[in-house]
Amino acid sequence: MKAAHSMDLLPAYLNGTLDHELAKDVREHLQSCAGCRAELASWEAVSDAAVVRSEALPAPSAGVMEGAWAKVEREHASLTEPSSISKLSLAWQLLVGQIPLVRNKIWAASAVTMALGLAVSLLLSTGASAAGATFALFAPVIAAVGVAFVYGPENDPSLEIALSTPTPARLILLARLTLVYGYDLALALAATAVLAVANGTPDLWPLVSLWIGPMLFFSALALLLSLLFGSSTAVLTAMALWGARLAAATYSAPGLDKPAWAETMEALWRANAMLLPLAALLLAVALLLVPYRSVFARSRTI
Amino acid sequence: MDGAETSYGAVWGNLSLRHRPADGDVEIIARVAVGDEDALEKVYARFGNSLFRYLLTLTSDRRLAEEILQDTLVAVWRGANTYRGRSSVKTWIFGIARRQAHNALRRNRLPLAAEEKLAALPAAEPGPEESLLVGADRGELAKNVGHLSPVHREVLALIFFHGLSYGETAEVLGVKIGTVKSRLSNAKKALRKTLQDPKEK
Repeated sequence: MKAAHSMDLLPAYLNGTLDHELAKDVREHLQSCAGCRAELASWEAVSDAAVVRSEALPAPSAGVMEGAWAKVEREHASLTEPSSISKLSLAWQLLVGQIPLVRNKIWAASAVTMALGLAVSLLLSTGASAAGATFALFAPVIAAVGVAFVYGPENDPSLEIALSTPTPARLILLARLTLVYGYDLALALAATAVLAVANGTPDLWPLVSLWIGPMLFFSALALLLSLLFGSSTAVLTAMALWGARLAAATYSAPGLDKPAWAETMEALWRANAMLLPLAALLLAVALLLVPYRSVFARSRTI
Repeated sequence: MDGAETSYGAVWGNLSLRHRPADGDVEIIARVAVGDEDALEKVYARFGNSLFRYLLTLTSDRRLAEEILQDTLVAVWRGANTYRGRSSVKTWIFGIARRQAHNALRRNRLPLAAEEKLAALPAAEPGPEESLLVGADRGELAKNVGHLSPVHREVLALIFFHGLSYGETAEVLGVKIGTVKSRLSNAKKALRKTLQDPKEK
């Protein structure tokens, strides 16, 4: 009866990998079983043929090991050091990827408001400097409102997903900020160019300097406030500050000097040297807060 | 009979234990794991030739086999820290080579030979046909091994040329030990058939 089992043990018996006890059993069985001896002889022929066949196969050529090291190097390079081109394309993908995630009303609302501001500046103001000053009232608040809606659970249906991706929250915020602020900046520049052409002033900078400082400051403030207290608080605060500024600008009772608060307001508004560092500081604080804010915001909205 | 079969089955599972590798192999892999380049060169010096011959049983394309051999070395370099010593270093590396070969063949859209696609052959029975193999010309038989399907060439090479146990062969192939035995038996029958019916080469 054991013959049937020994049959499929014969190859292992032949190549010497059979367990010692089993090999002894097979050896004993072979002595008494002619059928299994014949089977073993045929396996020996097969084994012999397989060995001859494999021995006839060529050896690998000389450069194989070097080729393997080259592959290791290539893989290493592609894993650890993305080229500057792929870094750029990564940044570009990040930016483009954020476009559909920014509230789409921001784009239209900013453009319409900016156009409105431009129209008001052109129609209601007399003289180049007056038109520029009027437009300077609009540009900052438009950017600020846009930026207030850049980030946060009420603005981002995909925030849950965003928070669980390896892209840091700071990077996402920066990407969106770049998008929205860049867009508003482009709008404001275009509007300023129109103003300049309409008034025949070839130099843009005097006009730009009227709004660039306040625009950066207002946007940074709105961003920080939106992260801390939500978008609506940020918009209300920005509007209130803007209202005060507007009041200061239009405060002109005949025969009376402007009150001190209005003078201060106007002076502050023009103080680019102070507003720009302040804006940078606010932005830095906002970026610092983002990762904590993300978790905080999520727990609050659930 | 049942009792005997069970005890054989239990022993087969432990065959690789008896065939324990040199401790040197394990040490070399441990050195590869910590990034020792000389150790990988040693792995190549030790296994390069037999791996290449094994790969040539899976594909007859020499260039492709060399590429797979390089992929295998890269995979050993990357994965040495995952070697846990459960199987011999040789078995582990042959298993890696086989996976790399299958990836490469799939990439190149070459067919992977599968036992299932081969016609079922009748069950083993010792008989007068055995003398056919024994009496055959040695050189002709070796040439006919090259005409077998890759899956049969492979199992014959692993057992008889590379000297792996059933358990180790099963591990390299990713199949059960019973499958190794049936493939062996089918390979032998297929080889015998090349003698009976030379037109089917």
